[in-house]
Parts: sequence; structure tokens; C-alpha cells
Amino acid sequence: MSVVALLLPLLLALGAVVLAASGGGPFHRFQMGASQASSADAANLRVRLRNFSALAAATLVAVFLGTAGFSLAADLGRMLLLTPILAASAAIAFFVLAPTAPFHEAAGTRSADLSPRRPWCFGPRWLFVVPAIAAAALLAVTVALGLAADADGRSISHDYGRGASGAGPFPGFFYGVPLLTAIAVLACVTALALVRIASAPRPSDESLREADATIRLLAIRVAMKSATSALVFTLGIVLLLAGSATHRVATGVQAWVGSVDVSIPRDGMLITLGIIEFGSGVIALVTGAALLLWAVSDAVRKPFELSRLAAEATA
Amino acid sequence: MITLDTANPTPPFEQIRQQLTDEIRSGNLKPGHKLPSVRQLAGDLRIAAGTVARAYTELEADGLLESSRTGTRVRQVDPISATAREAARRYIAGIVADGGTLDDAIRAVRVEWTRVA
Repeated sequence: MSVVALLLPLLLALGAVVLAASGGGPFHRFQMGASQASSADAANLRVRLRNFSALAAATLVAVFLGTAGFSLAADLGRMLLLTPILAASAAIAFFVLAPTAPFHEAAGTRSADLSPRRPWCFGPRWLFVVPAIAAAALLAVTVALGLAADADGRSISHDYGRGASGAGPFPGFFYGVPLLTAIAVLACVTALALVRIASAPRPSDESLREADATIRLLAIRVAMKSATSALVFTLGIVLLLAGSATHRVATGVQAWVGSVDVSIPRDGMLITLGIIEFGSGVIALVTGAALLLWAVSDAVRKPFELSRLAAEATA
Repeated sequence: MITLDTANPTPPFEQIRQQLTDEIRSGNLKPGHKLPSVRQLAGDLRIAAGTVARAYTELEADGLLESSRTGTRVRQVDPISATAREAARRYIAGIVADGGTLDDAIRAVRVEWTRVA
């Protein structure tokens, strides 16, 4: 449990440092006149500042929740389950506060399109479908395990007829209800961030539009990948806990029935189920970690790099 | 697309109203077309949301727009006829050749309209 508590903030902090230091290339490169380039460079800087602030906030939330969990031992499991989603929510909240970076333009003629801007105008369809699938999977697993758990919502038992065995912690509704609430919070924050990113004011200058679109696309990528990684990571933790408890409850145990010592046979089906849950949990955890690093990679990346258009030779 | 000229003495809401009216009457904005939200348009034009809201309200009163919970859309209106637009093109070509401006053209139409129509 302590390893899981440290894993997320470590991944965030180390990932940010390593990926930033590795000097990955900018997301886009294009040319721009000198008069607009300074405005674009300033916007570039503000975006990176926002992204690093979001990363720092997520790391702090992860460390805080992990620390709080250890000090409140009774709620350690809950805190660990909630950490990825709440940390992602804290990071995505920065995209609600600062969805894009304003470009400074000279006063004069302003222009506007006459069509609403939607989040899917700025990114591929899969970027919006994958988080929805991850959320649906986590919701379904949480409810299913909640229904399978014992009445206390934190253990599972199996009646073999000659006795029963129980095991925990098992992610029943004791853990599931706060988790469902956290998923709702993440969904709301992410939806709000997407709307804010899409509808934020756009520059009138045509030469700044490409830079603006790049900033919006990158913001949407970071927000959606952060949400997806948190959901998949959490799914991994839930399945690991479920698989471990299921396997233990299915393994043969010694039990006393009256004054007679009886051995309760191993339940092959439950053992298999436990192994499948545990294995799926490991896969989800690794996938979630990879998605997290992918999100961090986008966040620390420079949105764009400009090459100044050569000044026209004067006659 | 609509543009807002801050140097133009015409108030911003009137510039927006005129341009949207022209876009709708010319058929460039089709019936049912959803317009951007007040907040989005105000942000893009760097003006107060109330200015855009006033333009939308006046266009609704003129029967060109309709608002609902899902947003503001263009109503079914009769566009300017092709004959009228062709006549306008010929007229504009004459005014421009004479060195006149849009204001000159509009003024001339007003003067002659009261005499002829």
C-alpha cells in the first residue's frame, strides 16, 4: 500500500523533470512575422507556466492525500483509491482557470467567426472517446464489486457450505461510494475545462490563429490524457485489491465446524477469477502509468517554435 | 465572419446587428444555423457581453434570430432576391467607378427611394 501511495507523486515529479530535461521538440513549428512573434512567444511562456503549475498542484495533492491516508489509518485505502482522480482534477482545474493564453494585439479591427467553437474542433475523436470508455469501465467495475462485496462494503466472503472464508480489503461500496463521487467531480472539471478551452477568445490576426489553435489542441490533449490516466490507474488499483482478496478467499483454509477441524477445499473458479482480476489490475496500472507519462510529456513540451519571416528588402 | 472596427463611429452593437442582418438576408447564414454564444462572440471581439446580447435581442425582435435553451439560431427568413442583388451589384459598380463610398451609395438610395417608391 505504501508503495502505491508513493508511486503516483513519484511518477509525476520524476516524469516532469526527466521529460523536461530531455528537451523534447516543440509540438509545432511555423513561421511568423516579427510584429506578431513577440506576442506569440509571450503566450507560449504563459502556457508552459500554467502547465507546470498544474503538474505541481497534482503532485502536491497526491503527496497530501498519501500523507493524510497514513495518518488516518482507517481511511488509508480510501485515500489511496481517490488520489489519482483527485490529483488529476486538481491539475485539470488549472485549465479551467487559464484555458488558453491571450495574445496581445493592437487595437483596430477585430473579427469573429459566426460558428460556435466546440472541443472536438481541436482534437481527434479518439481523444474524447477513450476517457469516456475508461470512465464507463471504472464505473461498471466499481458497481459490480460493490454488489459482490459483503454488507460492510470492504470485504468479501464465500460460503462453502461447511464453512466460510472471508478476505479484505475488498473494493466494495465502502470504497466505491467515495470513488463514484470522485469520478463525478473529475467528469465535471474535465467537461468545464473543455468548454473553457474551446470558447476562450481567439486572436483576430490570421497569423496568430495557428499558434492559438496549437495551444488549444495541446491543452485538450493534456486534460484528456490526465483524466484517462487517472481513471485507468484507479481501475488498476481496484482490480488489484479485488483480485488479491478474491484469490485469498478462494484458497483452501482450515476452519472449525463445531469441534471438528475441517479443510475447506480450494474454489478453482474463484481462484481463476482472482488471478484474472489481479492480472487485469497490473495491466491497467502499467497502462495508467504510461498514459500519465504521456500526459506529462505533452504538458512539459513547448507548444510551438517560431522562425521569423525574413524581413522584406527595402527598395 | 464579422468584423468590428473600433475607429468606426457606429456603436459596436449596431455594427454587429448590421453585419448579422446582411449575412442572414443574403443567405450566407442559413436558417437553423447556430450562432456562437454571447460570451464567445464578445470574447473574440473584445467587447462586453452585454453589447453582443443587445445585438442578439434586437435581431430577435426583427424576427431574424430565435433563442432557446440550446442557443441562438437563424430563423427562416426570405433572403434578398437574386434580382435585387444583381441590381445592387450594377449600382455599386457605378458608384465605385464614380469614386463614391458605401455611405454615398446608401444616401443616394434613400433620397431616390422616397421619390420613386
